[in-house]
Amino acid sequence: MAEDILYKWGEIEILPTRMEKYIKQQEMNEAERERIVRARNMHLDWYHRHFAYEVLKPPADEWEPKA
Amino acid sequence: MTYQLSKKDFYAEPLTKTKAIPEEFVKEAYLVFACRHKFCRDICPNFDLTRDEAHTSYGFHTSILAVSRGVGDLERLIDDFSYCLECGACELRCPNTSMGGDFYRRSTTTVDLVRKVRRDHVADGGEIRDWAAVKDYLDEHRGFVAGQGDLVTKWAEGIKVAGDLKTALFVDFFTATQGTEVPRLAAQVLGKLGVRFGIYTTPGVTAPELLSVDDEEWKQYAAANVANFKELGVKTLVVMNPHDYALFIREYPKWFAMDDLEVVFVTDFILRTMKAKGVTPPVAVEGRFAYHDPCTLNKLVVEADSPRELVAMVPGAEIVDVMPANQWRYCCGNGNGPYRKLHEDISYRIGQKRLRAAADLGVDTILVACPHCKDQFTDVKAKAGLPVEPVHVLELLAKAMGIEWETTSPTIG
Repeated sequence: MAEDILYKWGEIEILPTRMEKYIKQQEMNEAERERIVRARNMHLDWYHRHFAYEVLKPPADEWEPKA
Repeated sequence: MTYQLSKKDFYAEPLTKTKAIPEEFVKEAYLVFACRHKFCRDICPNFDLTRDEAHTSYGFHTSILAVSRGVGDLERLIDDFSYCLECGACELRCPNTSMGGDFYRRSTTTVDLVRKVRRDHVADGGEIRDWAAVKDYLDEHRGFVAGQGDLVTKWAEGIKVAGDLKTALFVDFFTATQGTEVPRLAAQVLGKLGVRFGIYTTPGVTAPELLSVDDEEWKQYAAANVANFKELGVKTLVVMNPHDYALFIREYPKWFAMDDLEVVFVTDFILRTMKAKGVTPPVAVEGRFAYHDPCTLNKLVVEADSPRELVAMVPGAEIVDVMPANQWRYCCGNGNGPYRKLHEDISYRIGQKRLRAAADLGVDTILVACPHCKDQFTDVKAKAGLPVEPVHVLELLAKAMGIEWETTSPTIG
């Protein structure tokens, strides 16, 4: 997995060549990507407020990017 | 707000009765068809009432897949595509967008899909049921183009405007003819804040309805606007109607380089000017208000803060808030396209449900930031007799700024 992703502007993105075999990427700029992230956070925020008392994170060594 | 570019090139290839559906388009349909979450259903204000899955993002993509496999006929399925409000809620809740769109750079674009299928069907000689009212509306706007300069400045009688257009107000035909209170209030607030502005006088036909029949014609008007902005030296465009704002932010960058122009929604512009000048509204307006997020800001652009912040600055005013993500399932019923003209009855019921939700909060006023929402809610209130008055956020702000304004609402102040 690690060799097939990019770190761009602090975000994780799939390596574009991995997409060509199945389905093509669309034209998308950073503002659009930020819109998606913003909407996801809005939704999760609403979800957590209504259905969770605590947000659990995975252990740090499993999700933090390797140097 | 920066321009949001989201474009699928294969949408440019028209669907016809004779040619097979392009493979990339079929894969696109599979991406949604293969999903069993169906979050797009429960967030859809139309599905909420019709309970017909064919009217959802899942249904639209499945219809395309059925046509591609020869088990469906677009001539018979096209009616389903008229039941889309073009509000964008399903796109946001689709896991293809929300849980992977930023990673894969591939998202669900239902609004673009619906508009494409409608216009390809029309271009291929097909018809959309009950389209006559939409055609009349578009023809009326096309007719306005000849005298547009006078029309879009008529509301500004007695208002001082600058000789240049460095900061220009963008007022479209709908706002200039049916929502004149919005630019008039905005102009007075901006005048009070000491902002120099001019009025852009040649907006052309901006109605998103046009994208459902002829995107080339829409692009001609848009191209003329882009050329005019450059020629007239417009640096900041302050947009009155959020439907236009969403088009500037999400449609224009698909076709035009917009780097030299800053497009700002009117409430964003007023808020940042007030913050920069350290101005706070001096007059208290006591009241508890509901706030209705326009779909164009809350779902298409996903920017819902400035109207709330403006109300929060008004002494004595309180929003009994329903948070933006929870309002994705709401719409005033007008939609961001021809919906209200095609499905008057369901549109009314969607609006009625929204006003009822506001009434349940125990308020008698619902604040809006969109002239279409105000228009729709005014009709729904009169028809349903619900005790909730729609009022534009700028009307509340103007009152709090001490601006003399004959209010349309007896419930404020």
